[in-house]
Amino acid sequence: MERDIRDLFNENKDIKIELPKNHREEFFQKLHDVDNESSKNKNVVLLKIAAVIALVFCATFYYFKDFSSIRKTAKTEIQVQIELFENEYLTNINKEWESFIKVANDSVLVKKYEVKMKESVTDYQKITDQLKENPDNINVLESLINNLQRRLELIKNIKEHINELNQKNTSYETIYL
Amino acid sequence: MKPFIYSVLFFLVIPFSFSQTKEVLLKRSYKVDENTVLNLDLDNVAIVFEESFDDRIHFEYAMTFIRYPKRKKEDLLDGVNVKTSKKGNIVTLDVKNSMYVGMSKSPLLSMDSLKVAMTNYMKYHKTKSNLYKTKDSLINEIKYSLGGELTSYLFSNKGKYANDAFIKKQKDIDKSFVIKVPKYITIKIKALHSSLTFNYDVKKTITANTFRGKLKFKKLLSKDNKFQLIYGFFQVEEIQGGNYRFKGVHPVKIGSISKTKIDLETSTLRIGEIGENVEINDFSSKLYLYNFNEKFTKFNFAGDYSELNLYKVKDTNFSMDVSGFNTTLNMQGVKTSFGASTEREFTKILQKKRKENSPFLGNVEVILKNGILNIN
Repeated sequence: MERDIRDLFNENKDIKIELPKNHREEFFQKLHDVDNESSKNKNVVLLKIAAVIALVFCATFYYFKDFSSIRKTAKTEIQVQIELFENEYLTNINKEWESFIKVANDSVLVKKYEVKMKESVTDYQKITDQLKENPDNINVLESLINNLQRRLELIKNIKEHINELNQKNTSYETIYL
Repeated sequence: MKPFIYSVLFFLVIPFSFSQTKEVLLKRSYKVDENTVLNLDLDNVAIVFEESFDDRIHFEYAMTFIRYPKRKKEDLLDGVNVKTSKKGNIVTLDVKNSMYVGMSKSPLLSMDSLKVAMTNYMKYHKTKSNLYKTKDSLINEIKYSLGGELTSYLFSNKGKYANDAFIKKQKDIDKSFVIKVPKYITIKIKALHSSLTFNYDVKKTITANTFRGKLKFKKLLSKDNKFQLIYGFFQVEEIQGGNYRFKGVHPVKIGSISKTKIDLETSTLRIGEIGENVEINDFSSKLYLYNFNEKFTKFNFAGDYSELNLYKVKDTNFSMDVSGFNTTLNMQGVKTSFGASTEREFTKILQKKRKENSPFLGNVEVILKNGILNIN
């Protein structure tokens, strides 16, 4: 089986095949296509990262939004106490006002007091707006308490005054001292 | 790893370790003379006025923050707006603080304590409010008062209601605004929710318009003074002239008064001693007139829905005429009503004649519509 290996070269006809004329262009075209494919993959990765960041960002945003709204709606102990205090006063003011209306028979007086109460309520609304913005500010709280206290005293005083006037033990003679 | 943990802890601890910090907000002075006018436009501030002896007006405003977190302190300081200027003979102070800055120190009571304190105050007030007072005792009340009647009660009974554990946790601000003014300066005040304390006798004219103002004076001596107060309180040891209007002011406390006209509405007025030529017109207030000066000459009062309390009437030698309608007279435990509410015709309710054998003080003339007159 001895053989001259030089014959092998003569037998291999493929080596002699000539390269096509546009081989170079085809080669660069293929190389370019491969490059495009890898850059497409990179974009997909970047998009994935962006999506994750967006997701994390959205989740954080909604978490804090919900959290802060919870904080806004959840009342502190002092706010609850103030609300109770406020309600107690407002109930008493309304009660006193109703009994004042019942005993007062001077429409001019009632109107004057209605104006006074409205002025006081306007002031009260301004104070409660400020209290909403800053619930634990002692100065605003003090103003709120003063307003309620004054309103209650105002109505109580005039009601007691009318009640005293209505206790009739009428005299038509001048008293001399 | 340990040093890192400690440094993290250190940074966490810093914001919670509070101490007292003082912030000077204004320190300025202006040369002035007898023609200078001090113009004050004030919102949410407490000012103490002292006498200046060097022909200059001095402004000094500072705040000391106690247990205040840094950010909260900065937020609060953002609400402080103060500026001064001088144009010709007018020195102006503008303070436009937010309401959150507030004007004065609070007694720092918890809500529960405050509720109890207020209930007790109402009881205390009811039992004490009608009692007789001498001129000097009222002047002392004014001199040593720490604010309104409720505030004064809360401060003077702080030991009874204060909770140390609560106080220790509370952040607080010690505010100090002092203006030193020469006695000869005319002052014009426009103030909202502000506290003004004058620690000297004011000789020159003051014009004041205040809403929820807390005003305290020693002596007001000018006959040209003009005051108009809505809500708040007013305390003065002596008034010697001027016009004063009070609406919803509790209390108006005056040690002694002469040559003055007062217009009142839904307020509480206490006067230690009435002097020469005083006139009061009122709607729906409570008045306590404790004493009359030995030379008061005449005193006029006209009121609608007023409660007038007079003291030592029988023992004092003045003449008095009371007329009106739909009015109740309470005297020596007896209640008598004069004139029906529907008739609206004035009748003579009471007359007191002068005593011949002792010095005569003057005449009191009272007109009461729908009023209550308590003769004590």
